[in-house]
Amino acid sequence: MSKYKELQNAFIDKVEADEYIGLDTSILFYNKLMESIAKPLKMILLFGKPGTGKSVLLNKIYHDHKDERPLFLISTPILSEKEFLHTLYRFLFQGKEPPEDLTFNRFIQMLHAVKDEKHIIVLLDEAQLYEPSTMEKIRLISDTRAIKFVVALHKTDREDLIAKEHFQSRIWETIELKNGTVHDAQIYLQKKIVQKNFFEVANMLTKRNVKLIHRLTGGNYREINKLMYTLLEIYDYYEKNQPSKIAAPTFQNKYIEMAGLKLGYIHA
Amino acid sequence: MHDIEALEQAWRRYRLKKKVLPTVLGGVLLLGGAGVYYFMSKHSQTKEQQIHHIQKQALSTKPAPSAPAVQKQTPPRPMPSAPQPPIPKKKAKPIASPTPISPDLAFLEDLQKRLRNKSSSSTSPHPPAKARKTVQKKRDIAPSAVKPVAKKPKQVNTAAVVSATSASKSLIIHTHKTNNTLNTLIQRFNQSKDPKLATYIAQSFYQKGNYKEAVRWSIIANSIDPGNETSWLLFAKAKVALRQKEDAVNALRTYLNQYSSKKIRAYLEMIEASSW
Repeated sequence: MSKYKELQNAFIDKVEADEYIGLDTSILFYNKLMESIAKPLKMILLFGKPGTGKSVLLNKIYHDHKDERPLFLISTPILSEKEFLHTLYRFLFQGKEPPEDLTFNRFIQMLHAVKDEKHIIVLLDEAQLYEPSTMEKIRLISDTRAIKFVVALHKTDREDLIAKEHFQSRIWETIELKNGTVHDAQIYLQKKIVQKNFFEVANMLTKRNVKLIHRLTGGNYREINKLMYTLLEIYDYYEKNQPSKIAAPTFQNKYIEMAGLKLGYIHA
Repeated sequence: MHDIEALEQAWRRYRLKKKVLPTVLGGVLLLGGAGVYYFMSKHSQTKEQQIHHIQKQALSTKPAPSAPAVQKQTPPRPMPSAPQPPIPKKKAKPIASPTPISPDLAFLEDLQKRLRNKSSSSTSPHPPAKARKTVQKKRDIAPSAVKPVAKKPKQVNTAAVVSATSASKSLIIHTHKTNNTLNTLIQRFNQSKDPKLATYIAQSFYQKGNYKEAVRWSIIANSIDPGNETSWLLFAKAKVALRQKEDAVNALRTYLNQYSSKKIRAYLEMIEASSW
């Protein structure tokens, strides 16, 4: 297996804590979110375009702090309301199985009963996928102050969410994640490649390459991953079939453009 | 594997469309622009040459005019390539040259000769249009009665006007002295305050023998441009002409204290050496 093929795996889109790259901006968002969690707020809104790193950030926070505080992560939306309530019950009562006849009202009564003793934080990823009725229940649950929600959702859905008065009054802290700059993209790529110990490939990446990658992807980390994956696929092909074509010591913009063509960022 | 090769071909098309074509088109446009510029500059050059040629022709075909001392300056103007009508006369623009041009009055003698010949023969049925007026008068005049009088103008900037009087039954050529040119120059100086112009006026007055005005104008020129050698020299010459040698010597010494001039030194030595 060529080094390019091996490195390809580093750019497969995964939402894992070890995928988190400590960029200046992402560290800033991390600290900001942690400060917000420490405040006595009912809900915290984390929003941004897809691929800006919301899920990775939630994962990172969860993995870093799950052992020191009651922190829980729901990374995939639970569409069944019953199942959602059961999950929250388990979080609140350390894995205890919920009673079969647990209703929403019963659960609220329980929360009011334990609000002075128990406080948990629930990180809710992809919150835009929840039904409005579920969101309404989340609001009512947050009112008890027994459970604090960090709601992560796409920017496009934010306006709808904010428009609802009941959320306007409850979301006290809003953090917006944005696409990376050229500098962010460069650090992101280098750290990502070095993380996998491909120093030789990391040295092949020039500022000119990064500028082109940033231009094609708009600095979106998910798109950067896709482009790099395709680029490494192209390099893998040439290394096996026509190695003289990739003899240059740096990545050639030609192949980055070819990757861009394949992904539809540019059109022939 | 085949996908990558197809992708490379697609990239070549993309490259051609996005990079090579704009470059080629840009190059073509640039060349076109350069060509148009070259053509335009060439065209304007030929026009200028034509205008020059026409002006030269016009000047060479003109009879020696009873021109004032000052030459006319007509700046080259853009003109169509078709044959041009004679350039209309404009106000005379003086040139601030140290030596004025004296009018050529040879044509008067030619005219007199021709008139004499014509009056003796009086056979020409169709005289030239220009001389028509003169000849019409001449018909009534007896050949013996013709007493041409040609007064040569003394002054440099004097306009000569030829006319015939029917009353005297003889051809009389009058010359009118005019100071219009000098007045124009003074007016122009009042507007421009050009020291060269003031020097020129001073020189004109000196040449006309008006030494007091020459002194006055050389002082004016000197006050504007104290380093102007000619104005100092003119002042000294005019003073010498006015029998005020002392003033001339003092002025020239003052000048030599500040500036060095062989011309002024030579003139100073000359007037100091002179006995008057």
